[in-house]
Amino acid sequence: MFKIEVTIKKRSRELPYSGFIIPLSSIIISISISLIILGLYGVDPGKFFKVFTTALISPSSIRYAIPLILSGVGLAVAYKANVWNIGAEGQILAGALVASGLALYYIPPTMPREAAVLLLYIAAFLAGSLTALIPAILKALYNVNEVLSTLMINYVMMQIVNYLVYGPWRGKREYGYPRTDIFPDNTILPQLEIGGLKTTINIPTLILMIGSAIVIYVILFKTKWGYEIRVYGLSEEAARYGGLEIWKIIILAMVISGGLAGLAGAGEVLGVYKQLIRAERVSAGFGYTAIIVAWLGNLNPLGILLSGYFIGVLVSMGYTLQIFTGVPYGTVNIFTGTLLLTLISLDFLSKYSPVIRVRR
Amino acid sequence: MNIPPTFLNSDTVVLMRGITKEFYGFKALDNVDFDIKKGEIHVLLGENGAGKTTLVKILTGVYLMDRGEIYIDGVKRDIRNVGDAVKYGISIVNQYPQLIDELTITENISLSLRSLGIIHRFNKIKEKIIEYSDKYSFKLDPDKYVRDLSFSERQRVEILKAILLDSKVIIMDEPTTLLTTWERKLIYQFMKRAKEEGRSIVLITHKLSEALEVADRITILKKGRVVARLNAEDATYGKLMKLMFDKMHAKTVDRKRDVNSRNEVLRIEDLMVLDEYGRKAVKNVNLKLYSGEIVGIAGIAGNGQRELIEAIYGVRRREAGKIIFLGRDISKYNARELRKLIGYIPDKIPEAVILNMPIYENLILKKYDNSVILRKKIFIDYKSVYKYSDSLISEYNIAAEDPGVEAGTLSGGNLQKLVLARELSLDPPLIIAVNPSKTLDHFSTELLHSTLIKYRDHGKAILLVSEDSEEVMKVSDRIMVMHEGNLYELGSRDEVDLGLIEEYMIRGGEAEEVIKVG
Amino acid sequence: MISLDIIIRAILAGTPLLIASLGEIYTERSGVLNLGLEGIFVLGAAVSFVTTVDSGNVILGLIFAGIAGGILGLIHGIVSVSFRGRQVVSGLALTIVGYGIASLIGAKYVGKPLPTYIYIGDKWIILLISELAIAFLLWYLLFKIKLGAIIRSVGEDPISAYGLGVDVVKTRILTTLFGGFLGGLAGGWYVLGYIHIWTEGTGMGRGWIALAIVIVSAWNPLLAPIFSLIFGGVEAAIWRFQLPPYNFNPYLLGATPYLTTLLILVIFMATPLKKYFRPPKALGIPFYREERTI
Repeated sequence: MFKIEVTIKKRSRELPYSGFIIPLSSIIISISISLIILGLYGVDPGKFFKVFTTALISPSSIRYAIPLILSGVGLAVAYKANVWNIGAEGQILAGALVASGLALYYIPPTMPREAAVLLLYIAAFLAGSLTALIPAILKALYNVNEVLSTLMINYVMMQIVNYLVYGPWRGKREYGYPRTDIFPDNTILPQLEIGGLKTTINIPTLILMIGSAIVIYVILFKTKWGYEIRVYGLSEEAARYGGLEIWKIIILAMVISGGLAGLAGAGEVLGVYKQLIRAERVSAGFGYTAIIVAWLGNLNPLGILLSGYFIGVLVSMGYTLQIFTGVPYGTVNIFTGTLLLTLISLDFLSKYSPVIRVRR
Repeated sequence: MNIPPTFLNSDTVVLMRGITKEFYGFKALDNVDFDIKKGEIHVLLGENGAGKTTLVKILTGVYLMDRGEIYIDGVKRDIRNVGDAVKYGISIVNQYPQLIDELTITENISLSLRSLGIIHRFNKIKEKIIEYSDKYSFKLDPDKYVRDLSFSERQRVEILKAILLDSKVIIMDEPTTLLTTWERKLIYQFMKRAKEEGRSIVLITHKLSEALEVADRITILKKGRVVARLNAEDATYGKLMKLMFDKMHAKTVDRKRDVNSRNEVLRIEDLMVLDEYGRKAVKNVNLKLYSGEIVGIAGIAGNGQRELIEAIYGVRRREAGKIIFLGRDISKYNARELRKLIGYIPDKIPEAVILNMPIYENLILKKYDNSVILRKKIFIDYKSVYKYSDSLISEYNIAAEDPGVEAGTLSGGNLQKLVLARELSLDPPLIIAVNPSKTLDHFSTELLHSTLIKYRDHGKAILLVSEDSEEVMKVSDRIMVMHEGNLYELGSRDEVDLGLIEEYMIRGGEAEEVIKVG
Repeated sequence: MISLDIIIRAILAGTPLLIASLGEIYTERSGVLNLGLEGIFVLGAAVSFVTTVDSGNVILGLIFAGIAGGILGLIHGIVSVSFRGRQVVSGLALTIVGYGIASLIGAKYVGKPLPTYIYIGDKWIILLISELAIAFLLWYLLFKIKLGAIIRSVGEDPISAYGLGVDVVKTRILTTLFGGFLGGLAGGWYVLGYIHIWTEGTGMGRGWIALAIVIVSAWNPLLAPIFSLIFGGVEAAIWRFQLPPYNFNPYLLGATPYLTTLLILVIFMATPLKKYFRPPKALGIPFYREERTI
């Protein structure tokens, strides 16, 4: 009788191009797995592909990609520092909340739009940063697990936003729906028009998204702050040994991370909805989906531009499928979750080679 | 040297043939043959890095061999994991006992015993432990937690485990290096009894005297190959020396001393430092270190050296006392500054290296905010970093294809050279080296020692902390010993001998009385 | 103010939290952090609902919920233990998958009434005693017999445990499977034994609280019931304070469990209490069989 024995051995060099092949393979594998699961529920694969190809060129994919990429780039910074920020959802809401509040109650109608929007973005960034700062300080001072602290704050932010839109901020002209009034004109962002048709893509946030990807890329890989973040993220002992100020690194990473998510939140309310709505719809799980965007992009802002777009396509597809086939939007999570699982499993294969021995 | 298969007779318990093992392209074992007879004490002799531990780890199932065969009692066997080795009656007493601190002696031992089911309530095994502990006079309390045991007690737990597993072959890795005389006697007594019980002992040691004293047969490994296999009657000290080393015993290092510049570099007063568990690791230590000298601190691991060094380096808090470095209190330095002024070559090299980063990013760990590398105080100029790394790699002879490979792919010796290169290139006034030659072979150790002496001659102050009394003796100008948190200054190199150092290492303050009494 | 009604409610609300945290204690004691517990809980809730609506049998509902949780737990075990994937990422991915599958299978069942459910009523004392007994049993198994020593060894020092002959990989995968099973079961109990209804997103947030309970219970099954009841009490209080004569705002009240969790975590980490709450030394760290030759 033959016996096949598989053990693993570390490779001396990672497989070449693994930074590209792995995400690609994961996409293929996870799509196959997800199609199987969906197929078990009677979803027609043909319809699926039709919707997919439409979504690839649809502007709504870009519209979804924007908050995903902004948050994803921020998360990449945190994850590079080995700080597990799961709070993007709450940080998005913080940015949305503050931008909405200022737009409705503080920006004078006479302020020129450029100034108003700039102010609102800055405020949203700060709101997101502050939301992330609390767990950062708790971690730096008391070593409180940041996974749980950021998660808890997500839920708290959700409740606060809902409290406001169901309560004191409820719009007078909204027939009792949980929404604020539409924001004043000088606070709303201009939208992209393609061939005379208005899309839901707002231009300033789009530019911010591309700009932040480039800026964060440079910071992470070409500056001393990025070096410190990466060292600490890979080896806390080596960082301490080298005299790096760890608390500064943690706080910097979280502040950037939260701030970018805050910007995403502002983009949603100022540019897409033009009002503050129920929390579940503002952030729509983007904070969690951005986690997948970050890892799929290999924690590299330039890669995230691609992965964010891809996931944006999936999200757009999810909504379309829900409308036309009744399959709930939540199933997009099956895709993205499986994708992440496949990704980290394949990553293992690039570092370790299987040693197959056949024995009698 | 090959042992033909006809050598197998009923006397041979274990036969290892053609064993080959490679790590990242480095051949740790090259076609090694090794056999163990019933009821013998077989000594495995060789330097650090010769392959003794690797060979033994293959026999005990911790490593998998690349090529080779193992025969147990004449039958070819596969040892693919620790469980297999245990099944075939092979146990090891590790040099540094590998037990689980957070569990009791009983729990630790019960983990190894397959015969005990998972619902076993420990009562029966406890009885057995007490029975055998008494039989060998080991004096072990089965309910004690391993973290509260002394080094020798932990070793005895591993021995008991081997006995309770009814092992045919017990491998003992450098068992007596760190023991007191009484504890050593206990081990030799045990080995004798084990022989009488028909068990075989494989003794790994680097002490030639010990090999000559207890061995029935001796196998010598050098650089992964078997260079000799002798019976005890045929072995002499001189013969063994010649076989183990290429040249005769290392000549004493040439050491002239520049007594002109003597500035106080480090002064420690009444220092007290705690360990992770809140216990006093460093109790009331006083030390003065001057430029242009090497002070060696000998001591068995776990007597507070780590905590002392970490306090000096600034990664551990002082509970009481003062540390004055270059005339300033250490708390007045900011972390980066301090780390640049102290070159620290730690015991556990992986703690000082980022294994997943390329070599060049590792080399700038202390220098990345230096004006040569940093443009406009923000951007790192990677071109100059690369050039800098290239020059360091050639200067320190680091075996790497290019600076871009991940540090994790370097072998132990080369990693240490990386750390050396990084630390020394900053030209720090104080250098701390902990167990620097523990994993290095003879040649690299010589190189390291002469490098340290060269730095001393250039006026640096060097603090050498080592478990190896011979190393301390060879390299230091002044010699101290650390024992249970206390630091004893023994004197200058000429005033001290190896025996004195070892007495202090084992006994600490009581050594005084022992010596007086004679 | 603290009527019997509230106490019963606290016990009912705390039970699913206790079940989930007991399972996770075993998982984490072996060194595996399972952030997928949240998704497993939500999936268990959906599976139990769908199964019971279709079959009319609550036992079946609970079993299937446990099986679903066990499968996800197994996946987490394989990915993070065998494939050495980062445990945090694997767990989060599983939570997202759990959310997704729950959405999918529950979509056609939203709003449907439960034909039968687990009715406790005045038998709440039996429930309480059973819970405490199970917690005690799990404590005994973890600390007084060899099985527990195996699990704990792998969580404290897997390399030495391996050297002592323990199958680290098998142990970790089994505990993760066990934790997943209990997590799914907990979600099932949440629906069948507590809220008796299901909709999109039912059960979200509970898994995170169970994870927090594991930490503040110092990974000790004996302490878990205490904190589960405290959180159950918070839930009961929220329910009570929404009604007259208090009429607190439901959204602000809804933030209380999460703020409480955060507060308790900070108290435990920021005070000298921290000394007693040391996690298993190897928690979250993957196990590599062949060490470096350094």
